Parts: sequence; structure tokens; C-alpha cells
Amino acid sequence: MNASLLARGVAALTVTAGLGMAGSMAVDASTTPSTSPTASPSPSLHPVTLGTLKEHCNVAVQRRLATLGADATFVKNSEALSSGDRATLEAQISADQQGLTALDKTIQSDTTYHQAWSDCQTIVTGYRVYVLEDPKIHEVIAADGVRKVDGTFATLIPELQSLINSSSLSATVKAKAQADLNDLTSKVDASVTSISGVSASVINLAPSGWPGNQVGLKSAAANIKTARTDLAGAGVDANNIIKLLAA
Amino acid sequence: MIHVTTLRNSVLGAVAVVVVAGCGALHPSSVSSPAAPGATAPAGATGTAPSAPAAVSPDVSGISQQIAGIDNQLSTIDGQINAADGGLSTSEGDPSQ
Repeated sequence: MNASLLARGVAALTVTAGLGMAGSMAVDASTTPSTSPTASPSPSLHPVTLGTLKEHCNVAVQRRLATLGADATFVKNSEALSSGDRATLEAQISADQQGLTALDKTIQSDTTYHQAWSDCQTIVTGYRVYVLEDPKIHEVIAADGVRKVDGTFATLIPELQSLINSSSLSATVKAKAQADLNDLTSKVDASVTSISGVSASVINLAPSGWPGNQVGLKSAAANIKTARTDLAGAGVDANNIIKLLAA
Repeated sequence: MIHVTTLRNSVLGAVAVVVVAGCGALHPSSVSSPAAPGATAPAGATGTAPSAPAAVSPDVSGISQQIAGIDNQLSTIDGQINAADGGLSTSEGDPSQ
């Protein structure tokens, strides 16, 4: 039965990881522009008509709306998000969607190249969808996910302790299981420490703070990965304990 | 002598029932029942009760399911981390081009 459960877990892991990668690739595919916004319009360097410029801007808006739409789905379906974080992210996504939609209408109504170009830059500077909003949303979901797993382990640890205590196996085997449980507990404690305050540190980062708040995003990512690594080790310990007790 | 044998069999039978019931009652998700009564046989039943197992492994299936659930949650976290990394290593570009 354990082998069956493990096989199911691996299969689910593979499918979920695949979905996660697919989502990542879709986001990346939307970030095709590779140049940075220029300081001012240069029609001589970019010989496009006002109509063509508006088309480009509309495409840029639609790409970002697609990314935000995908993010909204992640937020809605996430089982890990706290209710407060979910509400905050939903409000932010909704505000960005409404703002970008209104901005697109403004751009399409602009009568001069310079005004349209200037408004078009706001698609980036006013929202930072690809470099701030989108990664921030994924980080909050991941951080809340780590906290949820920490909670699951907090429930699991006393159950594993109970199984060890009540086991009729040899003292040697029980000692090995206890050592694994001690290691598991220390790893979960480390994870709790690493993830503490991470969601709160990034969830209200705003485009106005760019690029300075990029540091906060990268720091949060590092903490999430550290906590994730600790949880992976805790999972190995848990499986070892089960194998020992079920032998 | 007959009465003694009958009494002994009754006691052993009762012990076996208690042991089996105890094993059924042990549920991994229940923190309130930490002891596994089936794990240790009563001294009086040593070597004489054919239906009482000498040692019973704890029922770990429930905990195994919880661990499998954790594995699934960790894989979901991995997907979100990968997605965040994508944003941290890209640039917005120029929307007017």
C-alpha cells in the first residue's frame, strides 16, 4: 500500500510540476520584448505611424491582461493561499486589469504620436506586470504553500511520535526512527523560520517602488527556496520513519 | 481442572479480542490515542494464545497518505517558484515596439 501511495504521489508530483512549468513558460512567452523603454519617442528610429503605435500598445496591454488573467486563476484555485492574501491579490489583480483596460482606451483615443507613446510607456511603468506583479503573486502563493505544509507537519509530528512510542519493533529500530523524527522536526522548525513574514514582505510591493523593490522579491524567492529545501528533507525523514515502522 | 482450562481459554479469548479491537481502534490521525495496545501482549497470554500476534506493526497508511499529500503540495510550490523565477529574470521591454 505504501508503494502504491508513493507511486500516486510521484505521478501527481509529475503532473503538477508539468502544469507549473507550463504556466511559467506561458508567462515567459508573453515577455517577448527584450529592449528597455527609451527616454523619449524617436519616430526617426521607429518609423511607425500613430495607428501602428496604438496597435503595438494594444498588444502589450492584451498580453499583460492575459498574464493577469492566468494569475487570477492561480489565485482563485490555490488551496494554499490564506484568505487575507487571496483577497489582497484578487483586489490588486482586478485593479491592474481595470487600470490597463482604461489605459488602453486612453491610448487608442490619443491624437498625437508623442502622447500615445508617453501613455504607452505607462503600460510598463505604471504596472510592472512581468517583473513585479506576476512574480509577486507566485511568491505569495508559494510562501503560503510552505506555511500550509509547515502546518501539516505540525500535525504529523506528534502522530509519528506516537507511532514510534507504541511500536513493538526493536529499540535499535525505534532509535533510528526517533533520530529521523528529530531531524524532521528541526527541518520543519527551520522552514517556519525561513518563511516567516515572507508573504507580508512582498504582497504590497508596488510598481512605484521599482526597481528598488526587486531586492525584496529576490530575497523572498531565496527564503522560499530555503524553506522548500528544508521541507523536502523533512519529507524524506517522514518516509524513512514510515519504512522503519512498517518493516 | 476442566474448569481451570475453560477459564484460561476464556481469558485468553478475551485478551485476543481486546488486542484485535485495540488494533482497529488505533488510527494514525488520532493524537488522543497514542498507545497501540496490540503492540505488547499481556504477560498472562505469553506463548499460549494462538490468535494473539506476538508483535503488531502500527497502522501507518493514514500517515503515508498525509505524506503523499505533502509531496503534492511541495510540487505545487515548485511550480510557483519556477513561475516567479521567470519574472525575476526577465524585463518588461518597450510596449511601443
